[in-house]
Amino acid sequence: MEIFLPVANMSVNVFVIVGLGALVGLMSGMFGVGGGFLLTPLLMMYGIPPAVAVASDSTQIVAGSASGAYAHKKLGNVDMKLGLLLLAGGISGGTIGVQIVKVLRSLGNFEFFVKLVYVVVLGVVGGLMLRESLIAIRNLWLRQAKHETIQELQERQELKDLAPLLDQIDREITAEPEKQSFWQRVAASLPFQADFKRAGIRTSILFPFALGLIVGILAAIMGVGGGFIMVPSMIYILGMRTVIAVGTDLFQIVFTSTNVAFQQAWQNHTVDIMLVILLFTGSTIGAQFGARIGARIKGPHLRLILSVIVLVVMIKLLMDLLMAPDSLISLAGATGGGH
Amino acid sequence: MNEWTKLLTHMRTHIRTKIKVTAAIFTVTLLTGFLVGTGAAGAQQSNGDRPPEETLVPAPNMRIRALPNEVLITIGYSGSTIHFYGVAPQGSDVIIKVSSSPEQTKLSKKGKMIGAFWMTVEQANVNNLPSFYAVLSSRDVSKLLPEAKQVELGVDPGFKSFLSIATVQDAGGAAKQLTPADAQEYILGLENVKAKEDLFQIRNGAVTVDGPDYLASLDLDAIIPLGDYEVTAYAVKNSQVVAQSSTSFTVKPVGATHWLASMAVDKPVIYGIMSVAVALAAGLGVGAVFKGGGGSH
Repeated sequence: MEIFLPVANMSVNVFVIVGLGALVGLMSGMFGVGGGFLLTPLLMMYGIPPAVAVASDSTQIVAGSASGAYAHKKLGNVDMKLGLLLLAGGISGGTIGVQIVKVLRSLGNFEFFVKLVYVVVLGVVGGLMLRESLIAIRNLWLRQAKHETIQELQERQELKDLAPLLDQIDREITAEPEKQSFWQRVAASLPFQADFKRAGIRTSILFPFALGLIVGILAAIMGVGGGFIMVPSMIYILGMRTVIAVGTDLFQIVFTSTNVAFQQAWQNHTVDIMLVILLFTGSTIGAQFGARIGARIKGPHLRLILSVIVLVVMIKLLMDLLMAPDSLISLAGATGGGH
Repeated sequence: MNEWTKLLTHMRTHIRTKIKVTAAIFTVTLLTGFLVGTGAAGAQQSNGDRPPEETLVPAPNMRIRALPNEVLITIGYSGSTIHFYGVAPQGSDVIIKVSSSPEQTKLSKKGKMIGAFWMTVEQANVNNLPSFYAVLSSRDVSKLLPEAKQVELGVDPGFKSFLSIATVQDAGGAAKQLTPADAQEYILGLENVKAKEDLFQIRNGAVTVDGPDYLASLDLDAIIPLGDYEVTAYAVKNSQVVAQSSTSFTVKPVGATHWLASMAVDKPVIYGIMSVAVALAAGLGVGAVFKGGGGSH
């Protein structure tokens, strides 16, 4: 079944576009983050003009984040105070980022800089996540092995009262390292300390603002949203629980993506509402399946899969940089960003 | 008295006859005029955008028509076919050139940075190149005409005619002057991109000539530039163009497609608010219906 996209000015197969949306929805349903950085390149590969792909993806994110944030809000997974601080930082960062982009563009070599930053960031995030998830998986195995050993001992009647011993081992393996991380010590030393009840942390209000600022700058430069930087930062640096980090991130993305989508429609006339509706239909379906699959897979395994996907994207980008192109001349791509 | 009555009757009959004849002549003249008038108007209508002088003085031995002369892009559009037909001098080959209106295209050029990384090193705008171009012919064009003539008519297989028509400007951050060799590289690069996407086509043998009649059809893809298309047919005999004729057709969006496309460009603020509102409403609606985490980014 074909449908004509009025702004992209081309006819597309409904099932392909809904399918791409579903793939992205599946990923976001499973991992809570990710997808946007895959969707834009996939749409371009299908033949959607780059500028329309980027702008429509941003508008699709408005719908996706609104639905996600609403659902998380009902479950109590959104820390509004933290979200608004991240948002304030993000908007300031975006404004600064746009100015940096202007300067870099006038210096030339902007694209090179962007791609290099992208590869490095993806590599670092993917690498850290891979390491963390492998350690967590090893811990899971170790705990299982210890359980089995103790059960064996129990069967041989060599040990009598095993319950306290089992509890102690569990605590040893699952407990977060007690010592505060470097960033948590930095946050504790800053002024304007405040409690974030939902997030379950106490930190300086400067800290989430700065985090939003940095992600905002990166998002403006790379033309993608910072979900895959923001959520790991909230988990690993701020020490928040994964669901709360995802819910809070989605909450602030509703606002940033609304701004980006409107700017794209107003300044560049590149939002294709038909494309947005098709993508969102797909992502809604995909997210339902993704959430169900995600619930069946253990956290560390999920993070392992996500880190591998991030690293594969990084390697693909690196290959594009290193391999000679088929033809030196090509249609100019779009810049400016979604999430 | 009797004589007088007779004379009067005769005169009345005579006058009546005269009136009848005059009325008849008048009516016939009027009807003829009306018929001729509507006929001409009808002819003009069916010719669409054809220049009026061609309607009045048609080339006697060469004609071309496009059917349909309007391609309407509805929401369900997925491509269409245009048929070209007409008459050409007996025994000649026919070349049909189809060209959309010219446009500006931005291109990137890749080069090696720091000896290892392939990156965009330069950008340029190419002007005056049509977004769609097709040459249909009854036989291999390169065997029908000498190369100079092919280029002059714009029907050469290498699209060399555009090298003199298209203009190129640097579009990178630093405004720099492009050499003619650079410009040529961009034009040829764009032609390659267009040919890969089937937006520049050369199709030998696509025109069927049968006596004085010829027929060809052109398949329009799902991706088709909007606007007016010029169509010119050349009759070629003994390496010479012996007659030519042109027509045109239009590709335009209608209905919802037209409404959305024109809103996006003419009323971007309203369109932007509408798009964001639709997205927010859809998202919140889904969020309210389904439990658990919805979409993300």
